[in-house]
Amino acid sequence: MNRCDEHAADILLYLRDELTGQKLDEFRDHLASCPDCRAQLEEELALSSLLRKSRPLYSAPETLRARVAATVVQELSTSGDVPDPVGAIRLQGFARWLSDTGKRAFGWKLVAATILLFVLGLVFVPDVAQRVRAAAYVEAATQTHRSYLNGELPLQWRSDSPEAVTAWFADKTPFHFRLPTSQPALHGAPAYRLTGARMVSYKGSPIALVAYETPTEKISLLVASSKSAIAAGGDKVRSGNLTFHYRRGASFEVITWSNRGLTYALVSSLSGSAQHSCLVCHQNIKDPAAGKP
Amino acid sequence: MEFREIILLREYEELSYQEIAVVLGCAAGTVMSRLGRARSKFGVLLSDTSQTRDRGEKESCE
Repeated sequence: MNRCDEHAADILLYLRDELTGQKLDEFRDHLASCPDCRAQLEEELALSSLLRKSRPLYSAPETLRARVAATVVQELSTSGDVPDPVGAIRLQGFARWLSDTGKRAFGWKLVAATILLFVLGLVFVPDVAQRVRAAAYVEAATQTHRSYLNGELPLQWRSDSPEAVTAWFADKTPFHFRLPTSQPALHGAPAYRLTGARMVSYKGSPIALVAYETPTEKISLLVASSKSAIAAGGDKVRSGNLTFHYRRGASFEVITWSNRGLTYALVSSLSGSAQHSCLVCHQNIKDPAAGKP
Repeated sequence: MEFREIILLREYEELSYQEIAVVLGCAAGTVMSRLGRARSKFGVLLSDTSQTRDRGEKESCE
């Protein structure tokens, strides 16, 4: 027992960016002054990383794979809600189905078996697993943007020079990326202005947050390795080899895409179509309605 | 068993506390304390294993 036992839960929450607001600030302050907690955080990070590296690679006969996939899809579509592209695979729906079956009285063995089926379903149905991972990235991007707007994630480096920000990230991210140096213009004026950058954590790995702003809006761009984050689901807008996944949430719009081993998430409160949002940076996108399928 | 499923849901499926609580039908606080115990037990098991390996006992792969 030590005086930091009360922070044990905070460490686990912090690991996965689940601490927010005042609790996050308080924990950061505590962390800065407490070597015990810093060491504990390092240990937990290492354990998580080890566990994730050892994720089993399942293999199963095609017939079993097909049966599990069919069961999951069927149960999802009969769970009562009209599924939306992301919501269909949300756990809440699955949990509702779990309780709707009314078989909890059979005890934890049934629950465990159902969870196993669910887990196998995630593994065997790549699409479902992809959407879950993609939704997690979107959620993290939204949360990060909200924290940035609230001032909980102050920029660590302020600059409007793409070259300077690229150089700042060079020794901080475990991946290489380069910000575009050209400044796209919309209606004759620069569409946005680079304001700065900071590092944030996603699933225990450092990822890049690049901050932009327009005269009326702050915009966050998250850059992560495609090993930890993927883009899927939402409304799709294609441009060349890229596919942008566009989602409109309650307060923000999120566009995700993958390119050259990196997965990006752009979060803003901008209103407008998916195509318009993507046009800010990718002006060669043709109107999907007018173009060839 | 209770440790295995919670580690699986947290680390392999990367669910949030709230999501795990929904799946397991228990309170988020219970999830947190159980996960804390699971992780520390796991950490102890892992360090035992790595110490065994460090002693140079080459074991056959299972």
